[in-house]
Amino acid sequence: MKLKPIRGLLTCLVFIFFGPLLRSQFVYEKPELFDFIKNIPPDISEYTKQALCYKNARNIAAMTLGTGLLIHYDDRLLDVSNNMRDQVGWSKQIDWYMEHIGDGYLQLYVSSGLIGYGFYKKDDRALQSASQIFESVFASGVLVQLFKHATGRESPFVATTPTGRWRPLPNQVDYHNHVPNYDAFPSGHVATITAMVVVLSENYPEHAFIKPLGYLAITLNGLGMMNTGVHWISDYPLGIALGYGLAKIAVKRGRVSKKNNTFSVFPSINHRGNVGFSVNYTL
Amino acid sequence: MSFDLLTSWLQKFIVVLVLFSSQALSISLEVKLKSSQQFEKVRFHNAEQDFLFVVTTSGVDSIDWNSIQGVRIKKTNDFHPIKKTFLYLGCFTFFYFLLETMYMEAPFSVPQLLGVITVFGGSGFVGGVSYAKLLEQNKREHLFVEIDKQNKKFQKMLGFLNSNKKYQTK
Repeated sequence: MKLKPIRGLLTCLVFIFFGPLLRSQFVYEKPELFDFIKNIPPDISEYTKQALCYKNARNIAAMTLGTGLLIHYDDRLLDVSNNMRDQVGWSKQIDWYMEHIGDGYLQLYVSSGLIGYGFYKKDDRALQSASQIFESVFASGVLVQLFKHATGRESPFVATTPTGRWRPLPNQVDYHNHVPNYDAFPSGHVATITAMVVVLSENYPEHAFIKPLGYLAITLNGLGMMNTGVHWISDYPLGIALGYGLAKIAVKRGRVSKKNNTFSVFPSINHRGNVGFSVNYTL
Repeated sequence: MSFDLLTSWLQKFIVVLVLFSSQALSISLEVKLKSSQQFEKVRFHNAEQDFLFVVTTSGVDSIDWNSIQGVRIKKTNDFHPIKKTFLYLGCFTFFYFLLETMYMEAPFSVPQLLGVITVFGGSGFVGGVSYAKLLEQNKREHLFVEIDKQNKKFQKMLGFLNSNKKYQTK
C-alpha cells in the first residue's frame, strides 16, 4: 500500500520531465469556419453510441455506482469542502475565481488565443485545437442542458433536503423561473473545463504541463463550486464523462494519424567506429 | 474586489510547475560546406576536435571540420522560461481582471453578453498574435562561426554545441 504514492509520484515526475520528448504524430487540416457547429450532432450521436455499447457497460456501471455513493455522502462532503476552505483560509473571492475556471469565458479566451496564433503562424494545429474546444464545449453543453432539464436537482444553496431534492422532468416554465432549484445535475462547468484540458493535452503532448495543470484546474473548479453552493460533488462524474468523451470524439474527428508502419534493417557505423545493424520499426 | 490570488499558494504552484516544465533554450544548427553555396540544417549528435557527428535517417554520420566553411546556430521557437512564465501569468491575471470588471454589471443583458464575448474573444486573439510575434522575434537571433580550428572561438563553439545538445529542435 505504501508503494502507491511513490509510484504515483514517480509517474508524475516521468510525465513532467519526459513529456516534452513526445511529439504530435498527427496531421491537422485547417478547419472550416462553422465545422465546430456542423460536427455537434454527429459528435452527440457518436457519444451516445459509445456510451450505450456493451464494451462500455463496466465504465457506465462504475460511474453510476460512484455517483450514487457520492449522492449518499453529498452533504457530508460539502461540509468537508467548506471546512477545508476555512482551515486553509482562502477567501470567498478565491472560490469565485475557482468557480469561473469553467464558465466558458476562459475557454473562449484560450480558443481565441489559439486562433490568433494559428492565423499569424499559419498553424493548422492551433486552429484545429480552437475549433475542437468550441465543438466539445458546445456539444457537452447541449447534453448537460438535456440532463439538467430532465433531472431537476436542487443546487446546495437552495436545497430543501440535506442532499438536494430531485424533481425529474420538471415543469419547464418553473425551471426557467427558478433555475437554481432544478439545474444542479450534472455540472456544465466541469464538463467545459474537462473538454478544454483533453483537447489541449491530446493535441499538444509535448507540453507536459497541460495535464497536471489541467487536472488541478478541474479539481479547483469543483471545489470552488461546492464552496459557493452551486454544485454537489456527485454532479461531477457525469460532467467529467461528458466533457472527456466529447473532447476525445472532437479530437479524433479533427486530425489524421500520420502513422505509416515501416520496417527497415541496414548496416551502420557509429562515431566510436563500432559496426552493426540498425533495425527501425515505426509504429 | 482584491487580487488576493496574486499572493496565493495556487499561483506559486503554477509558477513552479511552468518553470519546471519549460524548455530554457531551443536551438537549431545549420552547416555550410566549402563545396556548397547554402546552409543545410543538420541534427547535431556530437562534436569532436576533428569531426562533427550528425544524425541522419540511416544513423550517425560524420563531417570533417576541414570541409565546413561555417556553422550557424539559430535560436528558434522558444524563449526564456521566466519571460514565458510572466507572459502566461500576465494573460491569466488579465483574464481575471476582465472577468471581475465585467461581472460588476452581472447579470448581463443580451447586448452586454455579446460585448463580454467580444472582449474575451478579442483579447484572446490579440494575445495569441502577440505570442506568435514574440516567437518570430526570437527566431531572428543567430550566431555565425567561421571554422578555423586554431581560433579560440572554435573551441568555445564545440563546448557550446556539446553542452546544449538537448535543447536543439526536432
